Amino acid sequence: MVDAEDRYILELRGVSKFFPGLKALDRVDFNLRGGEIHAIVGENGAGKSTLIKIITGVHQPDEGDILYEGNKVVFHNPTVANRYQIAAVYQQPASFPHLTVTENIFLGHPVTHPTTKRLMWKEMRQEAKRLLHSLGADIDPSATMGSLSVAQQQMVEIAKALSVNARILIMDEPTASLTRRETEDLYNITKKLRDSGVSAIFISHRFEDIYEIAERVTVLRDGKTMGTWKVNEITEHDLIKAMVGREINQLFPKKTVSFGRELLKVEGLYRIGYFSDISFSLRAGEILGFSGLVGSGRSEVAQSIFGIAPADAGKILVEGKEVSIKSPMEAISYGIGYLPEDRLEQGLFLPLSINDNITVSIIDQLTNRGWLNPSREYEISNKMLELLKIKAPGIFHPVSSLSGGNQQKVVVAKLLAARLKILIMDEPTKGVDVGAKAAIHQIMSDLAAEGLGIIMISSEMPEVLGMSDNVVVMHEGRITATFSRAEATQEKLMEAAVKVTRFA
Amino acid sequence: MAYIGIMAAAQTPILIAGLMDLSVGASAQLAGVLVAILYAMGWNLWLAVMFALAIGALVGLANAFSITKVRINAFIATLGMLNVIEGLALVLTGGLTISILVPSFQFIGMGEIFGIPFPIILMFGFFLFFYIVLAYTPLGRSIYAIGGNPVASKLCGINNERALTIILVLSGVSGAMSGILVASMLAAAAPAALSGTILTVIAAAILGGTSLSGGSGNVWGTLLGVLILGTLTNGLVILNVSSFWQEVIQGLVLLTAVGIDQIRQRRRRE
Repeated sequence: MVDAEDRYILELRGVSKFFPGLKALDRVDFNLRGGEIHAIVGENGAGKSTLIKIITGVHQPDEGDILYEGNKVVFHNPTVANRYQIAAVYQQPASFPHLTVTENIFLGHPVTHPTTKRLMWKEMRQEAKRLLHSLGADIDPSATMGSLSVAQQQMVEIAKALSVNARILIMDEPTASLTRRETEDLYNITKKLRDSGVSAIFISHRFEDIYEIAERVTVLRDGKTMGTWKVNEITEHDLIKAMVGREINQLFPKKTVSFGRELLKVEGLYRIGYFSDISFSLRAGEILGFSGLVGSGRSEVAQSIFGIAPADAGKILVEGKEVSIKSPMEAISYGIGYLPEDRLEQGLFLPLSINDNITVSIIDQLTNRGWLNPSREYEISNKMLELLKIKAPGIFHPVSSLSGGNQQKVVVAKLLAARLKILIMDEPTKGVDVGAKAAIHQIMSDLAAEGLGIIMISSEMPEVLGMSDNVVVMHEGRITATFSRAEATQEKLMEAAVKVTRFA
Repeated sequence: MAYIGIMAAAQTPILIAGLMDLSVGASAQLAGVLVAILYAMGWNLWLAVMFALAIGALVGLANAFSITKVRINAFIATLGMLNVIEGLALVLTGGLTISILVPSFQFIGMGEIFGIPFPIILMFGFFLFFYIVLAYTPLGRSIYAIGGNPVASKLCGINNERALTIILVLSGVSGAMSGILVASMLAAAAPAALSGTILTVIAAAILGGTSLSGGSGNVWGTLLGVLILGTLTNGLVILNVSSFWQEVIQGLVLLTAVGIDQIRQRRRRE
């Protein structure tokens, strides 16, 4: 253990983290050398964020040890982690938009006069200027944070990390919202910091990033470490295999049905800054999977079709007729339904009863000469309760009394009750238990067999492969590949999802 | 107390939808003043009453425009409106009280049907109306949904703007009706007679279990709140408590009501 090669600045040994019903990290090993850039990759939900939160002291591990320069340490909270000179820069900087750059940099550790404790603004501004200059960033320390671009805000965050003499810098998908040019700048700064002895943990979905700046890469899958490699000793293909190589062990019952008429056709859909050139078609009886990484623009396309954030250009045809959809109300009138990914925030009516939640979107259809028709409502709610196996004492209980998983099912029940032609489901089984997942898949399959068309956005490979008749893969706002059910494999989907789009 | 009840009945769906209409007491004052002035100008009295009710509806429509189109926070939008119409009532009257001496008009405030005071019947009618709207119509259900989660209600295809406009207009009309009732009881319209009543109105609804954060509540609870506050005021008068102390006690009742609402919500979350 005294061998110089083994002297790590930070080491995680057998770290596990449990959340109710979920093993987020399962005996993870990870180590970081001084002056090294170490990349962490993995699918969505592989445990990367949890790992970061453990290193920054936000979460405490349930098992395992954290070693700092070979000594066991406990990060009770982020302040303790800060004391060990660990700082993090996120994709969306968590800063204070109304404060100035200087104030943001020195927040929590201001420069004060030794005796009077007066805040020494002039000194702080100069130091801020010096730090930003050393990063090669041309940013006015007196500008408000909110007036800066995301890339500039990241620079300020890095400057903040330098102001506390960070020795370990964690960068969580820093390039995700940067332009090419800004990405290059970030690479250069990260390398410069490395040469001055700072270690960096670099999390990214972009293989380009990893091969460009990292020395080593650790792959996480389902909360477990799959291995650590030197980047020049592992090919992109093997890396993908390590990321996705799990067995499909759940049963996905999508029935094969012959497709009917074309329900939805999208041509050249474009929304500034989110996606471009999106074309696809959905037929009756089809489940069309949308694969890709978080942030690839899948959800934004769905939201444009549903009228939440209408597209800037392109055509949407419903059953062959061109339509203009400017609001969810209009989308529903064309028979399009939407299951939001953030169901508790965007789908659930917490103070209302289970019945009222399930029937709210069809309430107008259930009336009898303009009056509510409770017996019809109760019939539908009870049927849904049974169908989705929602564990509740009855339909009149408030949804707030249900468990998270059952609340999710109520939102799914609301969509299914609406009996629409085209369903857009964003992560339909996210956060539900295995039994409910099977039930939801069964229902999706039945609905398709009845002649509905379903667009399913999913980050779960087995779900995409098992449920979809066809799969569209998106990357950085564009469709990079389309596969039929027979062609699609985990490796092909992942390859298309991480591929760098070459702009012509 | 009946005039408070009418305004509180209309305020209930607004609170359930997660909004607040502070301008309703001022609408009442303006309505009384309009009836008095138009009658003095030689208008037919009942035409003047109709006109005042229409102006109440217009105030509600203006509130709806500020809230749903310009997207001003409801509290601020209706607070601004409160100032505008209270000011207008003062401008129109020059701050003076105008009397309306018409026996048939007195019926609204003083009349009886089968021995039951007409204001009580009127108030009960408003409660029944809002009860039916909230419990038996799709509009009522969407009001609970909007208050429960406005983003989700929009995604369900509910026309939030339309629903909110309807209840704000109804609130404006209810306010005007209250003002006409008070003018009839007093046989006069005073421009500042109803200043501050809005606090009693909201206190009554909250006391009756309607949540300030929206999504839950019902009109019968509000009626109970109105009766509790009415009994309190009457009791204090009978006990010969000075009107200054009555203010203090009413304020404490409001604080208690909101405090209870907060504690109840915290319990629900836990």
